[in-house]
Amino acid sequence: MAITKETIIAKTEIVGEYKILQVAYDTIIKEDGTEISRSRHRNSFSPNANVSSEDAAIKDIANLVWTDAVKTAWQTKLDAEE
Amino acid sequence: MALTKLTTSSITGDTLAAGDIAADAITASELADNAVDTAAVADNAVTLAKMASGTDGNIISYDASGNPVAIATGNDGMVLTSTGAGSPPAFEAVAASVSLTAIPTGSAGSPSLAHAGDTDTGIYFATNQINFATAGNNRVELLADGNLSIRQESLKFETANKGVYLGTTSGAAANLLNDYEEGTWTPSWSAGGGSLTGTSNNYGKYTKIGDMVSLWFGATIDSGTASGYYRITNAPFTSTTNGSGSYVSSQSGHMGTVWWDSGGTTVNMSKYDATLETDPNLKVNIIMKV
Repeated sequence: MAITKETIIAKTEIVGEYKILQVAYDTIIKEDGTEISRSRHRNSFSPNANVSSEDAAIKDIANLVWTDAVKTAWQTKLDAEE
Repeated sequence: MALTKLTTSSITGDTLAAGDIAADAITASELADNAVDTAAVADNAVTLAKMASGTDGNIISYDASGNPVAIATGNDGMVLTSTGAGSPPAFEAVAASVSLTAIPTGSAGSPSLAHAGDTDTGIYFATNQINFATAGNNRVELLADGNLSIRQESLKFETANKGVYLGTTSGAAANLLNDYEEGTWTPSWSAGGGSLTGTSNNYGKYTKIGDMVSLWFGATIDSGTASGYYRITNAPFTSTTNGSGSYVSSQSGHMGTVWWDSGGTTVNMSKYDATLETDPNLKVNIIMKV
């Protein structure tokens, strides 16, 4: 009987004007290759977030959608909320 | 001299050859009744070519008197149907619906309607009830009162973002419940002013139903010079509205306000006083529209 555990990116969403990245990770437990458990963990990343330690796919999306204009708009929003 | 009458006994075998009798020389009037009976006709002597011509597609049957009759071909798609005793069959249109009333009740292990290759998967019946079985197990029942009962397992949509329209018959998008999710996340803590250098007992859980997300999160604020307010910057979903709530802390009497803005994932929590929430933690439960 072999028990394995893996974490995958189940869903990546780019949300709203500020291109917030919402990422859902699924942790899957398998017994002899058959899934017996799955749980979800999420994280979100704003345009000023440090994603350098995240999965390459997350970094690629961040680099693509977090343009200078988006980052500037996000910072302007944060400043207005202070 | 006139010929004397020929009798059967005066004609010996092979006396007459085919060419000795003129064409049309023997007609019905020359044959006594029953002169040619079944015994006089050899097996296979009457071929299709010797039968009278008919209409293409017709079928030979017998009428109430036992006489042969031709059954008209009918039209494309019709089926040959018995019309009962004393009447030849007929081609008739297939009925719009067929009622099969002799189907046995069946069981989950041996459904009434199943295909030969998988006899424990199919449909079976109870009084005023239809049951659906797979692999010998009763899975779904359509009950007498109209309710659909799922006996085992769950309702699973094979296409994302499909769901159930609740409280309407119009299928309006506003009534479609097509998303549910529960899980965890790890809040990332910081401070509105000063710094927040250490947290422990950090936790975050969420349940999303449609566009409503409930968040439960908290932490022990161990160290730092945080002033003004605490905040987490990575709520698992992006709020589409401004919002507010309150929190309480295990630290005696400590409570505060919680607020967030539309379009982001930051949630702010006012500090109760100059002390940190170290005993043991700050607890927040809010509902966010996403």
